[in-house]
Amino acid sequence: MKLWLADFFSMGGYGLYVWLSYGVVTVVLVGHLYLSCYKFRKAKRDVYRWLHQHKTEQVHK
Amino acid sequence: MVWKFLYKLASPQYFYQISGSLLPWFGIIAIILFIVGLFSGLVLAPADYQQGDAFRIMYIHVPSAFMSLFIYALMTFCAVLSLVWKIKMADLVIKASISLGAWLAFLALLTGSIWGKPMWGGWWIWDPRLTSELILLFIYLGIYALQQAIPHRDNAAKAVAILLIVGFVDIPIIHYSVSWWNSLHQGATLVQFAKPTIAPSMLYPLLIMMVAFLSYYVSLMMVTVRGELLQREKKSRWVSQLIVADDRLKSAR
Repeated sequence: MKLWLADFFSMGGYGLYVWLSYGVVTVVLVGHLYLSCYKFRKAKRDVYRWLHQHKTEQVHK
Repeated sequence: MVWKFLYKLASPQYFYQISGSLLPWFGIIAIILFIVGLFSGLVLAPADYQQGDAFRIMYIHVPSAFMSLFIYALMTFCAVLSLVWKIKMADLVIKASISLGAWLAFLALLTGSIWGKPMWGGWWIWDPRLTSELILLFIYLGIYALQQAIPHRDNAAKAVAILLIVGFVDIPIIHYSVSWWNSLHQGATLVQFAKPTIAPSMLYPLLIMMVAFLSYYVSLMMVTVRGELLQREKKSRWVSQLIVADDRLKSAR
């Protein structure tokens, strides 16, 4: 098992190249995922606040 | 029937509703396909007799490159919809896709470069495919810059749509560069009417990863469009009803 894992991580000697590539791609894709969800939640919050403010203004008119 | 569905997508409310129900599916599909694809690509697929295990970079390099082209083609289609039929939803899809498309073009170049170092002996070569993909990245960046530079939203959308269509000429250049010129880059593996030249055990993980990237893109695009839609349509009744209903649901918990 240990030998297999060692082989797996070394990727036939090309480990640095393979894992560097996979690492960068993972960071970018996960980062984008997080950013998109964050932007959506922020949009929802902003619209909620705007609606709340707008309704309050209407009541006060 | 398909045309009717596409027509309906032009309505913000309908798009919001349908994307809301489709989103979890695309997300789950993306997760499952990534897991299956990565496992079969990194573990199950046999090592290449020439490149050894380094070829496994293909499983992220090819999907990134493919998606950078696919997203650009989709954006061009939306640009036509926007300019000819004045469909505003198309502008939203474009705006939501630029960033990821650009990043994927960059990742294609980066992973290709890292793969090229041990295989070709260098980080970069002015090869037709590499050069045209680099130009695509510059086009993406130009579109992003143009979009940010124009403050008036609809004017920005129009300018972006025009630039997108002009830049589309690069897409067939990238695709056919390996057959039109003497390219160091590998030729087309998946040819329309012939048997693929790649072994099935290496091909299937690649196809899985490509669909995984596609599902991932569709999910993120829908999330981004939904957020933008809420902000643009905040004055409309369906948005206020939605937010109020959501609020009631939260306070009921």
